[in-house]
Amino acid sequence: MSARRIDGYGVIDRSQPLNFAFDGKSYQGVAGDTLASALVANGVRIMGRSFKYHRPRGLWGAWVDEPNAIMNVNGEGVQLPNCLATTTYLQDGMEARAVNAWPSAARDLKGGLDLFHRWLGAGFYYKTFMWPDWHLFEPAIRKMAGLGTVSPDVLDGYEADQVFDHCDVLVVGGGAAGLVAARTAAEAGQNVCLVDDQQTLGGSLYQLPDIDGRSPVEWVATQREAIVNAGARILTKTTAFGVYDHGLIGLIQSGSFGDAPRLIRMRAGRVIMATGALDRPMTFPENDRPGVMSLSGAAELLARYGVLVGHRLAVLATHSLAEASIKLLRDAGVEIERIDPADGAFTAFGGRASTGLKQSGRARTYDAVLTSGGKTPLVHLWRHAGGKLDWCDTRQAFVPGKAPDMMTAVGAANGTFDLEGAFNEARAAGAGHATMRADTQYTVKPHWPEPGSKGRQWIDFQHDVTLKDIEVAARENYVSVEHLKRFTTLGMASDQGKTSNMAGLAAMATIQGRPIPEVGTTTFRPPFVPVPLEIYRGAHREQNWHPIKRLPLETTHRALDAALGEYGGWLRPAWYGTGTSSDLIAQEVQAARESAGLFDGSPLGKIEVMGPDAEAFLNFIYYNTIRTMKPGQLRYGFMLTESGTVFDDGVLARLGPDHFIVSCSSSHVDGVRMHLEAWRQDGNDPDRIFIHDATQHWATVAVTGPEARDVLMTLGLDIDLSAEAFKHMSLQSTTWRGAALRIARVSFSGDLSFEVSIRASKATELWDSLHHAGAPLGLRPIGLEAMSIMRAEKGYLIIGKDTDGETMPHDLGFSAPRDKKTAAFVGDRSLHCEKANDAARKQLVGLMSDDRFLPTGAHLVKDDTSQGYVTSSYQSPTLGRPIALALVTSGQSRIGETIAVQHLGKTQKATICAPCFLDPKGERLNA
Amino acid sequence: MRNDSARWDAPGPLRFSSDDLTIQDVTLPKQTWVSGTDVLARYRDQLVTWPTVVTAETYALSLRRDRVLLIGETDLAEGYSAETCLAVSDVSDAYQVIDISGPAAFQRLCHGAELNLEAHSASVMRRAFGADVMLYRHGHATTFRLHVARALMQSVFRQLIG
Repeated sequence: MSARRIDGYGVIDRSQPLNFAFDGKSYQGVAGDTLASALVANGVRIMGRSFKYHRPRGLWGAWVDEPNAIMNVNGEGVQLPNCLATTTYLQDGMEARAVNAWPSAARDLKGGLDLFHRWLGAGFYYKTFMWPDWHLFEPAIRKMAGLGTVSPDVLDGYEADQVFDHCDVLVVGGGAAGLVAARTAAEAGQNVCLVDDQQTLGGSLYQLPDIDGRSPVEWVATQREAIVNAGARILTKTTAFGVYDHGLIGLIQSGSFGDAPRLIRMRAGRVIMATGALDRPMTFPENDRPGVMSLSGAAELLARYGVLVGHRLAVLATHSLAEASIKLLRDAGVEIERIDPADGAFTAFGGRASTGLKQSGRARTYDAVLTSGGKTPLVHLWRHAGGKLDWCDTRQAFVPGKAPDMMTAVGAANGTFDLEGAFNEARAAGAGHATMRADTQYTVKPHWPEPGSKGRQWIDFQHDVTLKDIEVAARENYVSVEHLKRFTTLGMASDQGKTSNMAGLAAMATIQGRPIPEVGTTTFRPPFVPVPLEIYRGAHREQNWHPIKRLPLETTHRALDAALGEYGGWLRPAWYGTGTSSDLIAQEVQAARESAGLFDGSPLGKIEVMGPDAEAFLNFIYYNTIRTMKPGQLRYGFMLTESGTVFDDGVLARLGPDHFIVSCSSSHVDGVRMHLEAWRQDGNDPDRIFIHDATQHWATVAVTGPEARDVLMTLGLDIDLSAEAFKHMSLQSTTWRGAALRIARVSFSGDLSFEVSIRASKATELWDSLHHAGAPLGLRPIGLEAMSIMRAEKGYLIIGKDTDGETMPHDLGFSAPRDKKTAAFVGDRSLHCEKANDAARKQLVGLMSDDRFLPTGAHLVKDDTSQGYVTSSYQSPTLGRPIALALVTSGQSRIGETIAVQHLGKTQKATICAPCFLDPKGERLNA
Repeated sequence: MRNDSARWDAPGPLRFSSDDLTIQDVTLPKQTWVSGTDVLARYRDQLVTWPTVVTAETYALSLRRDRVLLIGETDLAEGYSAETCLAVSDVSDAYQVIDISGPAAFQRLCHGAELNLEAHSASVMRRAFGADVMLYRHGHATTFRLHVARALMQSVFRQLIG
């Protein structure tokens, strides 16, 4: 093998040898190597297998454009899948294995698949596996699909840091243009951040013999020092992977292998894109053979890592910049033969030990064949930001066109490949001046794919998309680039088409007889390089993943052995005590029905609506009439959406002429607040209505049951709690131990109830007082499960559980406002549309069954047609039998009808009844 | 329904101390929302915006064009006053308050909030660690005071201390 490390080149530390293994064989590299450079230095030619045909593949590039060398890597006790060998820095003890190959990339058992390539072209997948059933093939295909293997071990401590940051100027790319732009901006006093994805700044500068008379290493060091001295920050191993709204740039900063990367959400005033350009592959038969690689990749391996890919090389290049790379390689002692594509068609062969090229009947063998069909500016970030692209005939490439507001492209990323031109652009951009792309000395002879030509010619190396596949796509009329992409998977590999898109577009353009710019490009989307999902998770894990709201009384509930669960975003007591939950819940219901229950209703909404237009506003917001409410009154009502469906139900309290409290459902508070704010600012005068969501200032403790009044009286309040003085659906305010108290006589259980609200910091004191005083009377704390049963016994509904997205108030038995309310209200018009008047609407009813429980969600069936479904179902401890609520077609006119209830293949009978099972006259409620 | 009590840590004290970061809970005498068309002008002298450093005992946090949060005792009556055209609500217990101080305080906050000490903002409302909060500097340039809705404070605190 002729690839080797040579002295005098590279920015590596040869004094630090690093041992590693690839596909089970041991090798040695040095500090500063990537996995790929170390493997090339050790003479490894085959580093991976293609996705579909399992073709052997060598290295194409030296950085993010590499499509082939993808590896599972073990290191520092961590195994990570799909690591790009060209961007994974070598660490001592690393063990790498090629993905998609077994037992090794060099000897892959599935390599034989390539023999069947005639039958595996683009589209075969969609056409072949349709009959008799996709699921027949699915297991085998799923097993073959994918690349790397995720370790089954949990990665302890693999937690990405996430941080917000900001700067005036973000310079992306630490090559020649990026360094000059960053220095200019920093010296002008701007807050500058320069990011570069490599660990050593300089981009491709190390391929140059000198810059301004200094070696690249010296020149880069000088720029770096000047940038830092001017107060700018430099982040290496940091990739700008996406541009988002309002100048937000996603940065991923890598550390040592095995450490989770860091996500930096950088808000930048301006972005200078100095991301450089890539070598474009040339399309010719067998162009995927190991040893066929990019010219600039080979030059970079030499310049950065001191690695020669061989001593006898062929170069197929069609542009003027190739000369500098060739000179670099020749100066290192390489024998180079230039092949002119114009001399006739050529085909590659070989690959395992050497790579050959046949042209005009003549075959020659080389260590590697270096190709470059031109330079492609890296414009991904530009497109993320909404910048336009222009086609440049001179450069035969898409270059940045109309700029997005906050971005400037400089250097090779802008199509300015000449160093002096790049410097000029960078200085102008750094100073915040407009830049003009200068005329270029760069020349390129187009060498695009030739549809119809012979041989297997690869367009997308990783996904095995060939020129023939493009032709098939065109024949099947997938001529739009977006359709072409999806039909063939061109550009959908992990390299996202960095090397394949231009060739694919050009091929399609030729087939259609259209210019390339008319064919256009596919959409550039973040991320620019694959990023671990971990960076999006970061600290959003476990209890921080979806934070739950905590009650002011949580400590008290825990002391009472409450079983806590999530209800509408709040952690609330489901029941209390240890034992069988259904027994405990039943005991709570019985205690509340026979004596008293103490319930934490703190999440209930307490949204204050105030101002001179508050009454009119709420009369508009609510389905019910609000104008007639007097101070001290409560009213149950619905809020509707504009489509007339029930958005929320709750109780409205009137404290004064221009002061109301909306007590909405516990889980809807945020939604109701936004609903109110939206209507306040749209169609109403926001200067005459004010909305204060004071929900979390107030804790609410409900005392319910026949003994509720007696329990409450133990507080020694200065108000008359008698049934005559304090009627159901009224509110009184007072103080208790110096704290304001609001007492609403309102009930969700169907029994006499008082909801007592006090400032949250006094909630424990109130709860303990009531609990202590009520215990001798048989009071016990009740959880949400008991309350849910009690409200269902009474036929009270829970929005979202006993309603669906189409339920209107008249479906629930509340028709009066629809028929009589004259003032406009939200949803009014929709309540009178044809759909709202449909006789077959689903309406809320009760269901009685024999002793068997009706499953929630079970369908009510007649003539093999669903008539609705069970919305709530419980074993009623009060009635000693199952009860259920349901939404049933024309339900209110079907009371008494027996209907089949079907669930998971089982059928039972139920009788439709009114939804109220307990105290229909309200005697307990009004006691 | 299952018993998920063990999945969530019981609420703990809002205090933390390390070499470069101190978090301490703060009890304020009173927090009062005051809304009105000209409320910012009325409280101009006490108004706190970002990144103001507050030194007064009584001040008004600027929240939005028609709302402030008064910190400190006030004789404003709750409800709407037709005379002053102000809507007033006591929300003293709606927000828990912590002070975050030390050399690492700002950087720690930047893990969950987009902050810029150079950029003035007319409001102290911020989105931090997934919650709508009020954030400003109090007493010292490196001491940050955070008001968080009571129900979410445990979550914000957990994230703050990492």
